[in-house]
Amino acid sequence: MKRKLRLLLMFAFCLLLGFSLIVLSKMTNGQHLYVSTKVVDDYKITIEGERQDMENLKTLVEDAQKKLDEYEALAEANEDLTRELEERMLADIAFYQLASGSVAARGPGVVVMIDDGDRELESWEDPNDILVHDLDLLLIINELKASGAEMISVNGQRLVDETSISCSGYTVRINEQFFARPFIIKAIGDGSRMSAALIGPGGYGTWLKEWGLLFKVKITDDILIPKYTEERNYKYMGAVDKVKEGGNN
Amino acid sequence: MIIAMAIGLTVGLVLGFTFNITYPSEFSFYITMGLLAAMDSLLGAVRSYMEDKYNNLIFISGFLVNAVLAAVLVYLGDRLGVPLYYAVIFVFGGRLFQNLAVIRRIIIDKYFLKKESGNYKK
Repeated sequence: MKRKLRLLLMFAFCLLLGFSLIVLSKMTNGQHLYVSTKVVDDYKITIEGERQDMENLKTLVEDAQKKLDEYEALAEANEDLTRELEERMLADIAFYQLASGSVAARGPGVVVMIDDGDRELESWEDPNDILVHDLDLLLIINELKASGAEMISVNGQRLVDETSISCSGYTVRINEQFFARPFIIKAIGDGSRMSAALIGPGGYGTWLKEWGLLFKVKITDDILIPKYTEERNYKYMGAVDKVKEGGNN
Repeated sequence: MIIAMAIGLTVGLVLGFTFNITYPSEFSFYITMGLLAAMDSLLGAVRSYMEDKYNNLIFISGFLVNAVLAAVLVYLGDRLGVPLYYAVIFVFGGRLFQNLAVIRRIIIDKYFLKKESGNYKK
């Protein structure tokens, strides 16, 4: 009896062993397949997020459809109203293009020129003292903005919301492109106010001059600022309320 | 007994190949641990059989308790973020080799050196 039971047990165990061995190897396909609960949780969160995104997209599509229906109804109802609507929308587009930097802009303002200083260095001085740095540019740009600049470009690079200015050795990186001295900053806005803020007593331009850098400000009537040429990537941001925005036009 | 084991193994392999069974991959680690426990118990059974100390109750209870402990360790390690399953792998893996070594010695003594098999303790 005991012997029989033993045989049976051994048989069952080996059967189970072989079976689960094959099942397991089939599932893993030779890959490493240890999944911790943390990873599972992470995936769950990701999936939930994706689902939410899908819902949002659906509502977006519905909104667009609603808007389209509205426009179509308007178009059928009244010819003139449609044209008016269209003109208003086109004007809106033109304005936003201008403001966002997708088209070139012109207007009165100031041209600021900064260059490395050419004075003789004293023996204790660091050559860095008379070089233009990214921080100088940033402070001047900030000063210009504070005194009412509407649009700014540095060496032909339009400054937009995602522009960065950073140091890269002997050059300065602006909009992912590298520029060496001299730096020419153009700003559209109230010229006299901006130049006063820079070269007045205690202004940042005056301070740079005292260090020995070359700093010139010129008020001009006609400044051309080119459009933003880099590719724009918006990957992470999203509107807070996607449903009720601009639905009443 | 060897024959029963061989038949069981082949039948199990064939079954595994014929049926297409899937399970949630979260459990793959637990199944692996169960597999290790089963292998350990089997080799232990063979060894005790060769030493004439085999007992059904010890075999079954040993397997169950070991498997449960392994599962608990894996789960706990998962929760705590500490790889406690290493303990399971090391213990079972080490025991596999140990048992195999004893079995090998017994077989060599019995069939090649023609000695009386004594009481082997590692």
